[in-house]
Amino acid sequence: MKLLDILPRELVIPELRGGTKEQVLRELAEHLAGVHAEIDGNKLVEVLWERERLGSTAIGDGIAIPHGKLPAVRSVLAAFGRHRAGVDFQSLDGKPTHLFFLLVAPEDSVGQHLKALARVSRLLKEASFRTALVRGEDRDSLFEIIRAEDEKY
Amino acid sequence: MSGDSAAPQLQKTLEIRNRLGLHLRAAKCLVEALAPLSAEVTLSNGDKEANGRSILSLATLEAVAGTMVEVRATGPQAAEALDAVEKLFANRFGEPD
Repeated sequence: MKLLDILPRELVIPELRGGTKEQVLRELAEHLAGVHAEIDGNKLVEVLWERERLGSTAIGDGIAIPHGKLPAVRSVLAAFGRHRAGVDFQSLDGKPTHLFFLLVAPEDSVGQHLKALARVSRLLKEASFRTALVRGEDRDSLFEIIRAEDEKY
Repeated sequence: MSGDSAAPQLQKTLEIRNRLGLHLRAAKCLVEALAPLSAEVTLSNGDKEANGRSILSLATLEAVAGTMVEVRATGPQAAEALDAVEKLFANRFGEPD
């Protein structure tokens, strides 16, 4: 699986603006719902919030991978949001989170979710990729950075 | 005597038993369990290999339920590290199913 199979250009969000964890989750959910009509944005925020309560998905190095399952979706969907200033997402290393990869999977789709998670993780392991995403100028340049990295492996 | 030959490597093949597989939260459990131990731990699923101290690295394994994961440990607390991994796999990372 390539990341771009599930991440369209319009769901690369160069400037997240929310100042809190909840606001950022809402922004991400609304963007996804704006592109995928089957998604109820409010329901998605609830699902993501429930998952965060089990432990933050901000795993350090400025990265978070908020995720959840919705019966309404038929295959795994992704969105990427970048927050220039960084948000307190209760990350493992205590540092602000800048890069958000949102994954939404159908119910009973453990395999698909793990595949998407593995793909996002593979790309994010590269420090140069993370730095490029934090610095990238706009949607087109961020999309190009993701596309180029996605082609490498 | 070289340092390498003095560090024996312990190895075990363990089954992922929780329904959700080695997902993000499970990977985090593993990293936290290994954090206090002085050991290098490597997990592999086929040709994919991961560092037991990195959530991102573990998440690349794509280890679904039923996957046999090869776990290798070296270092002063290699045995303890292997035990810790075995326990987590056995109790399904504390998950209900």
